[in-house]
Formats: sequence, structure tokens, C-alpha cells
Amino acid sequence: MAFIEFRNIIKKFDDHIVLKGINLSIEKGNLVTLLGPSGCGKSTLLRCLAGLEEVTEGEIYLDGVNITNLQPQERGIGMVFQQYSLFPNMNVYENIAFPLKQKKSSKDEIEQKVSAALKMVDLVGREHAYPHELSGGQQQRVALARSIVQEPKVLLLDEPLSAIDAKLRKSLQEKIKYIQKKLGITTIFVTHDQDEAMIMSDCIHLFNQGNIEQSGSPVDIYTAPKTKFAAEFIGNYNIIESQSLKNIFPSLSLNSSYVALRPETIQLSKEKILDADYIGQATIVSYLSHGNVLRYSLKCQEIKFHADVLFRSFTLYEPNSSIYFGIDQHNILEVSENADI
Amino acid sequence: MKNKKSLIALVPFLIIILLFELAPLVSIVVRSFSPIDGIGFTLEHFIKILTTDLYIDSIKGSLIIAMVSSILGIIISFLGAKAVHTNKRTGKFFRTILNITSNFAGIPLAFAFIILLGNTGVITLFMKNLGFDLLKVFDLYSLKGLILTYVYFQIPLATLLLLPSFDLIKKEWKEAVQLLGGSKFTYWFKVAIPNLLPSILGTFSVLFANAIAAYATGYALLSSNAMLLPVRISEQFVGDLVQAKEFGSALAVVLMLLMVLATLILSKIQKQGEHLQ
Amino acid sequence: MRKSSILDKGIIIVIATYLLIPLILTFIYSVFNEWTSILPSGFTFKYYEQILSDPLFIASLLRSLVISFVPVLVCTIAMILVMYVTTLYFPKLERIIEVLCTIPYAIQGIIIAVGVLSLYSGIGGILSNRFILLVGTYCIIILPYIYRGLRNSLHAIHVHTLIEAATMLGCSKPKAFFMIILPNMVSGIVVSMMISIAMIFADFVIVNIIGGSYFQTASMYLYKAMSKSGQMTSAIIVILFVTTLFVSRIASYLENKSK
Repeated sequence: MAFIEFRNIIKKFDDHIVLKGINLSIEKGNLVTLLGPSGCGKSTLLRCLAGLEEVTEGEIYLDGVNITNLQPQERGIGMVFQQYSLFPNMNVYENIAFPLKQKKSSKDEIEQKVSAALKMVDLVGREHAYPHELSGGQQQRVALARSIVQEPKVLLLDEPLSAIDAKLRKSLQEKIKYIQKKLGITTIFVTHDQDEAMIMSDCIHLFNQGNIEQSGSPVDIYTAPKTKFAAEFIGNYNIIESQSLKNIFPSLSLNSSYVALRPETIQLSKEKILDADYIGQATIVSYLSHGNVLRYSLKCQEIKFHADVLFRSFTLYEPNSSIYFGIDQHNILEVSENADI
Repeated sequence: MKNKKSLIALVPFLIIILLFELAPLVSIVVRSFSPIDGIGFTLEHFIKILTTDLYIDSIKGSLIIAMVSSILGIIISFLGAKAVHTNKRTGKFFRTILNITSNFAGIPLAFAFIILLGNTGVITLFMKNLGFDLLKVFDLYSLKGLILTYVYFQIPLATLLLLPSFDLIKKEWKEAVQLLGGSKFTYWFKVAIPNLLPSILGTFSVLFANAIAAYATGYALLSSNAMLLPVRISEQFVGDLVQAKEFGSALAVVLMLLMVLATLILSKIQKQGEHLQ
Repeated sequence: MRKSSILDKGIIIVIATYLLIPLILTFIYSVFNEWTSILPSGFTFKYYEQILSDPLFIASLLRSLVISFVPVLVCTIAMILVMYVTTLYFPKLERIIEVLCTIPYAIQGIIIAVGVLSLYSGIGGILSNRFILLVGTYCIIILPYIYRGLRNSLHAIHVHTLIEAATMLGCSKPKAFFMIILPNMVSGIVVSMMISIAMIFADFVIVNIIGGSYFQTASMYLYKAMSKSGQMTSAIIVILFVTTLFVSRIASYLENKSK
């Protein structure tokens, strides 16, 4: 039995079904991400595990114990919320000491654990600051310290960085990952940001409309999306109807209704010298510079697609010019319309 | 469900509400239709109210005073709030005065006006020394006098209620009107006032309700000679007269009806105003 | 631009004068023996001395303070308990509570006072005790203000996140409400309590109807003094007004501090 097991979790709010029978196992010590667009049910699953929502059907096991009907405070789970979860009337020290005081720990123990936690989140010296005196990033670090100080079996992070500006987010992502590995604490991270999921996780579970669409390591998910939704959500994949592609390359044999093509796997050249399995001719529609990558919009018959080229020379293909493009067989990913459940 | 246990915490609130809000209201309505010291249904109290000059005059008096003092109050307060809005510095000092004087109402207010403008009031005597009989033009113990005192307590209340809505007026509106070739008049009457209208009408209804039910100021000035509905109501329950609960309840129902009517009319005006926009 | 600014200042000055004259005049009147010619004459504090040494006045002032404070306390506690239930367990009840708490705002004090008196004055037992009737009636009168004050300070904090965070940290929901939510509402609660106290302190209508001769407050002492001595009355007004002002100043000081 895995460390955490969700068994056929169904959650309804009135008539609206948010989770449609989730089965999910999480191994001890992993950092797992629940990824998906807003409203896909990822946060609800997390809140069910925390005990903040009751499941409509199904069971949740933690460390071999059925915790489905336990109160949140009885589950031994720590949680960091999106924002505003620090107690405004308590300073940083009191906030972090709060869970220990609930457990009636001794004064020495509290002092020692709080200062260790403060050190871990780099907030030594800010013990006496009140939440409103801290920046958003500092507040989230306090919230993190407060959750780990109680040594929970599982740490839940519910979009903890979504209210933080982009630059700071990067360093906090690293901080969280560092602390997670150092403590070896099983962690579930909820986010709608696929880049964040890629950077942080050992394993990603991609959610779509109350179901898990696909699970796997970041590399698996990125390089081998199984469905149209996964390909669209994860990367900048070109999603092309199989029939249209067959019209261009009649020799192509495809079983699925869609194929996904990563823009950086498409080769471009002015001459027909490409070393690729399939070579076609397209028109440049426009291009955009994304720093070190040039993204071309191309058109071939009725298909529109993108191709990414590293911006290493000044060879620019002008709009309206004709160009050859090449695709290798192994880069043509067949994706299904829906996840087969 | 164990959450149900928590409903016990509602008990104190429910006892207070039941005993002192709902039961008294129901009892007033029921009593107003009951014969004196008996059970049954009668309209005699309402008929008596509508056929006795004293009560008709009191209702009229209350309506006139509430209407006039609210209109004057809202006009003066509008000008005041507008002035505060444009003069931030003087405005702060004015706000302080409003906050202080908003506590000055009822008997103290009536008394202050008595020593100012009463029969032996400071201004009255001062005018007399100049050979001018103020009492001939202005009698404090009349409808005019009541209006003057009522307007006094309406101003701080109305201005304090109007001020926040003036903060919602965007500087850009005025600039846009100017750029589009509109005059100041256009700005105030086509842009600012229509946008302030909901809060003006809302404030007006607070003033009206406040004035029509006001008791202390009028009673202190004129005691039972005040032709005011609240004075008529309270004298059915206190003072020298024998208590007339049923009749007093009927008067209270009339007061409630007047307030409901005023609210309905105002909300209708407000809706029409929205249509025009 | 300039012309209108002068006009606006003029308006402010005129209104301010209208508002201040009665107030200032009352004060001047209270510290002079006579005011029959243009200027008052005979500066004195004797009226204040007389009043403050009158045991009847002191007693009525104390009654005023007690009757201002008790209903506010009762109403606030009852309302906190309501908020406890609606925030934690039955959020759907909030609607009904709101309606119940707004009714007194729409129906003026005099009607409630008359209703209470006619319903309970003759029935005997604890409910015909005038003090209890006054406390109950005042609770209803201040209910809209207490309710709004509490609700606003509750909405100013992220109640649900805070309670969820507390439960995740090993604290029960009721404990979280009283340990974390309530302390964060204190300044808002105190402000609305102060406003309510000032309101009851200045009341004459309700105490005149319900209290009658059974419960004499400072307002009623004032009303009786009016027919005796003008200077004395002014002095009482000044004392009461300063008291009210003091209470409401505390309120606005706390309000600014909490911002």
C-alpha cells in the first residue's frame, strides 16, 4: 500500500460533480504536483485530503490508516494556503509556535523548533514582525515554517506562490524544493502553472474536469502527452487533425484523430536538404522573437502551425516566403481526443 | 449532526429579538385593530385618528416638518459636502465640526435654540435693544422654529452620509466634460448629480425617517403643544392622560405606514431616475 | 477656479457657524450669571459646582452610564455568538440574521418603545421590571449598529482561510474562532460599542416612555431642570455633551488606530 491512497473519490457540491472518482497513490518522500486549469478539481482533492472538505464517496488512506472521517486537526497534515493565512494578531514567532502550543509542547522545545524553522526559511531576526509588516513572499515563508514545525506526515501546498511576483517565485520554488528534500517530507503541490510543476515535481498528475488526465514524471508528461488536452496544457504543442496531416503526407499512417507536434522538433530550411522523415513546403506567415528562440507561424494547405528555431544567426525567413519543413516520425505524437478512463 | 449543538449559541439573540423586536411589533399591529380592553376587530381607532383635528394636524405637522427639514437639510448638506470635496484642507476642519455637532440633538439642541431665539433669548433681546421685535417675524415656538432646529440636526447627519459618495466622483469626469466642450453646469447636472443620485435619495430617506420619528427636540421646545405625531403617540403611554394602549398603537401604525410610504415613493423615484439614465 | 474655491469656503464657514453658535452659546451661558444685554456678565462656575454636588444628578448620571453600557454589552455578546454560529456552521442563516438586525433601523425607536411598554408593563414578573425592559429595548435599538460593526470587522479579515489554517495546525474550530478570529475583531467591536453607548446616553424618547419615573437618567434630569434655571440647564448640557464627546472621541481614535 502506498503512503497516501485516494480510492475512488467522488465529490459533489450540490448537483455539480467536482471529482469524478479519483484513484491516486503517492509514495513516501515524494514531491507530487496536482496540475490543471482552475476548476479542474485539483484543489478540492487536496482539501479532501486535508479534511477541509468531506468526500461524497470514496476513502482516503494515510500511512495505512483510513482518515476519511477524521477532523482536519486529527490527520497530522500540514498545509500552506494561497495567501492571508497568517494570524494577523500574532507575530512571526507566535504564528510559528502556534501548532506547537496546540500540542502543548514544552517551552524549550517550542523555542528550539521555532528557531530551527526560522533558520530554514531565512527569517531569523524577523521573529517580532507582524504579518502586515512582511512582504507576500515573507508571509508565505512564515506559513511554510508554521506548517513544517509540527512535523506533519504530509505537507500540502495549495497554490502557495500564485500571488507572488514572478521573480520571487523562482527563488521560493527552489526554497520549497530544498526544504522538502532536506526533511524528506511527502509533499503535494497544487498549481495551475505548468512551468512551476515541471521545475518542482517528482511526479505530475494532470487534472481535467474532475479526472486525472495523465500521470508521470515531468519529462514523461512533457515529451509524451497522451491526450489533446495534455498536449495543449503542457507545452506549446501544435495540435493538428490527423486527416489534414495525411493530406500533406499521404504515406503517413495514423490511428488517432489528432497528432501533437512540438514546435522545436520541426526543422526549417530554404533548400530541400532536410534530413527528416517527412518533408513539406509551407509559407511563412509571421515570426516573433522570444529572446533566444524565434517562433515562426507557418501555413501549409489549411494547416497553421508553429516552429521554434534557436536564434543563433541572422538568417531570418521573411513573411510570405516559401520554406521547406521537416518532421521525424518519432516526433509525431498521436493523441486521443479524450482520456480513456 | 453535531453542528446542530452550536445553534444553542443563537438562543440569547433569539430571546432578545423575539421579546423586544418581533413581539412588540406584532402586538402594536394587533392592538391597533382591537377594541379598548377587549378582543375583536375594529377600525375605530383609525377612524378616530382621521376624524379628529388634533391627530390630523399632528400627522400634517410631522409630514411637513419631515419633508421641509429633509429637503433643506439635503440641499445645505450637498453644498457642504461639495465644498469639502473641493477644499480638502478646510474640509478636515469641517468634518471635525460635523462629528462634534452630530452628537448635539434632542433636548440640548432645543434648549440651545431657546436661549438663542426664545422669548428671552440672546438674539431676541439683542434685537429688542436695537428696537426690532424679532418675535413678530420669527417665533421659535412654531412650525418655523421646529424646522430651524430640525434642520440643525439633519445637516451633520446628511453631510457625513453624503461625503463618502463624493469620493466616488472621478476627477477624470470633470476633465472629460471640459475636453468635450461641456460647461460647469453640464458637468454638475448631467454627470455629477445623476451619479450621486442614489446616495442623495438614500440619505434623504434616512433624514425623513429620522425627522418624522424625532421626538425629543419638538417635545423639549413645545412639550405637548407640539403638533407632531411622535408626541401624540407617547402621550398615550406616559404623562397625565390615562394610558390608551390600543389608540396609541394605532397612531404608531400610522407612523410606520408613513415611513413605509416614504420609502416606497423614494425607491420609485430612484428607479425612474435609473431609467432616465 | 479661484472664485468657486472662495464660494466653497464661504459655504463651509456659513454652515459651520450655524452649527457652532448654539453649541458655543450654551457653554457661554453656563459660565455667566446673567445675559440680558449684549454681553454676558458675572463669570462663574457655580452652576457646575451646584450640579456636581447634587446627589440626584450624580445618581441619574450613573444610571445613564449603567443603562448605556449594559445593553451594549448584552447585545454585543449575543451578536458575537450569532457570528460564531453563522461563520462556522450555518452560513445560510446570515440572510435571516441580517433582516432581523436591520428591522430596528427602519422602524424608529419610539415605535419599539411603545410596543414594549404596552406589551409588558402590566404583566408582572421579571418582564415588567423597567430596567429589564429598557435594556431589552436598547439592545434592539443599537442592534443594527452592533451588527454592522461586527460584520464589517469580520469581513475585513479572511475568516475562512484563518479558521482552515488554524484547524490544519491542530486547533479546533470553536477554539480558532475565539482565539484567532475574535481578537482580530476587537477594535471594530469596540468602535461600534462606543457609538452605541453614545447613542443610548443621549436618548430621551425611549427612557421617557419606558423608564418614566421608575428609572431617571441624566436626560430626564435635564428635561426637568429646563423649567427651573437656564444657566443650570446649560451647565448640565455641557457636562453631558462633554461625556458623549469623550466616548465618541475614544471610538474614532480607536477607529483610526486600527486603520
